[in-house]
Amino acid sequence: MTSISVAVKIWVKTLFIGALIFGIGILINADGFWGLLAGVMIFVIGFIVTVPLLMFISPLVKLSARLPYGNRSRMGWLIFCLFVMYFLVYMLLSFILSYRFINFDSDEYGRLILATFVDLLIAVVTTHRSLFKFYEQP
Amino acid sequence: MNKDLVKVVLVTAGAVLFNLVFWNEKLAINTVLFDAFLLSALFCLYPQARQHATVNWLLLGHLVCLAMVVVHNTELSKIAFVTTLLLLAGFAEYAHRSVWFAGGSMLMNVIMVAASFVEPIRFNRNRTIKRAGISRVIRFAVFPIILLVVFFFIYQGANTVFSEIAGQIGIQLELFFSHFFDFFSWQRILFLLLGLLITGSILLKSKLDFFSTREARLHDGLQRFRKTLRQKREGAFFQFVEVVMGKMASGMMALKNENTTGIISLVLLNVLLLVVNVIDVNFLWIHFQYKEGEPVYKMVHEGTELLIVSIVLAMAILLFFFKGNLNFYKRNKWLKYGAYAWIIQNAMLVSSVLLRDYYYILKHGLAYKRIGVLFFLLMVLVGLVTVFLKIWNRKTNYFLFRVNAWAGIVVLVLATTIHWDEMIAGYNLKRKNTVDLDVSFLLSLSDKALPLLDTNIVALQKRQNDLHAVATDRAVVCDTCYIEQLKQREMAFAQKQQQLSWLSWNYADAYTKKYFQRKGLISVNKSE
Repeated sequence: MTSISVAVKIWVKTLFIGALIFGIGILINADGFWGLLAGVMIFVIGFIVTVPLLMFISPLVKLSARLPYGNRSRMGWLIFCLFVMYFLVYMLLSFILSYRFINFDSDEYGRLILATFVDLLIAVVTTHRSLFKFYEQP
Repeated sequence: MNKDLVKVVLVTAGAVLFNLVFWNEKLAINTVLFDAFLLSALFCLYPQARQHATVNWLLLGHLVCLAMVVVHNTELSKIAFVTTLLLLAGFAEYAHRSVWFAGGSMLMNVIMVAASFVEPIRFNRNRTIKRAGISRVIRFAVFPIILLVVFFFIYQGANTVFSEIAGQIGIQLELFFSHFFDFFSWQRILFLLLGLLITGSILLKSKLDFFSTREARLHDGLQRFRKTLRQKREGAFFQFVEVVMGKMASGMMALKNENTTGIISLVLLNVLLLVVNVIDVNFLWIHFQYKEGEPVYKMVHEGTELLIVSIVLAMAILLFFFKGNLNFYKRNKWLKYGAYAWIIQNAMLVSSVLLRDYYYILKHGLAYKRIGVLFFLLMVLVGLVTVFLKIWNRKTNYFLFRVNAWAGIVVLVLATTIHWDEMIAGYNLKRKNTVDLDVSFLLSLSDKALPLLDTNIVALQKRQNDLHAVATDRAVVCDTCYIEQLKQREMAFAQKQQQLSWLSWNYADAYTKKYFQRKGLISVNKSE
């Protein structure tokens, strides 16, 4: 098990769950077909757009293995760091779009951040076996 | 109760308290509630901390800052409150003597907060087995769910009755979620996470004690130890010196050469600085006059910035010469004299900058930067004294940075005890007939200055109009601008006060509110 393979697993799951969450969100607010289409679109576009994030996810996985903590704590730390990473990306995007790093007035912005948190939590927790195997190998 | 469990409970309770007292409120009396909880929890988790004198002094400083948050409620008092709280936690949890290293440890706490929070939670092995079962169920369910969703939409398109039923279910779901998110706002959940991050960072000690182990190796007194030429050459800085000095940097006479270079450098720098100081004494100290047509700010801005850079650079030069073996060299007497003369001359330069600032204040009144320069000069003076002590008593750079950082903390805490905005307004308005007032700047000061401005605004507007008329020789474009601006500020203050609860109570706002209540701008019922 390598840090890259664990990172790829986390990344793909994050994308898939993210697409599912946003697909369901749009499904509730709009027509069913559009929800499904949006989910697929988010997955496909996200796949291309978020590839560079792998450059950061892999070192974070490697770094988490070096921490003097138990496996679950390392996993918790990884979720936290990934969340901070995504949060920084959103801040940058928000600044480009509205010249504000954090747009607290926008409901969509808040939902996006919280959905990302839930998304990462599920993605990393469901990868815990690979992650723990990576932590425990010499 | 298990101590690990206590940690988790305290951090969670702290996050909830943070959410309750700070949501849509400003830092004020609510800070006392949160701080009381944090300090109790901190000393409950780390009881040995109270035995350290440093912790007790920091606690005193922190309580002064807390009191100032409630009394003055300035941005400075809030910054000082947060700084002293973090340092207090750093010194309580780790063995530190330096503010810098304690700050580093707290940074480590912030970075490791998630791991430190999960670590005390004991996971039951049986539950792990159950979870593995759940995980299996999820894995089995993924593919059928995707199929179900796809066919759901196909049938929805094909069958109108089915589509209507699905639509009804969709509307109900939409209603449910909208009610759910009305109750739990997204921002509030994120705010709770922020509370968790803040409380966890303060209460949970990280397992990475990088900074405390690093500091344990450092001492105040400089110790002499032998370094081989090869070891020296490993350093990039020595390589640079070798490039400049050639063989003189590494031969048998290297130390003597270094000493000679140091003496020559300091003699030349002292002579140069003496010329600058003599000019300053002549033109600034003895024969100073405001020049017609030349604005004072030009002299102060251009002079002060460069002089401050030169003083900091001077300290860096001394640190360079007294970084190692030259401290123990028997014939370093003249090098030391040169350094002392350089320090004294730099102290003179500080006085000249102080004088420039003083003249500027006399002419234009007080302002943030002018006060900032005063504090900076105070810190530079402390820096020069500590550089002197370092050379005199053969102390390390660690000592120098440690003492200066503590001086910075003391200055920061003392600076919070004054409401600078009120002081600026009071000082400038008292001298409104002799000082060139910047009324726009005065109107941008914090709310506590509003009563002072309110009592002087008519006179200020009149004076400004007169000046404008004399300067431009034309009719005044707007003769009530400042009065209107002040009215807007007062209205904004009144509106803001109505949105806040008792949790945001502080003396500064209460004072302003009382003034406007007397004036009838804020009604007593609304404000209560």
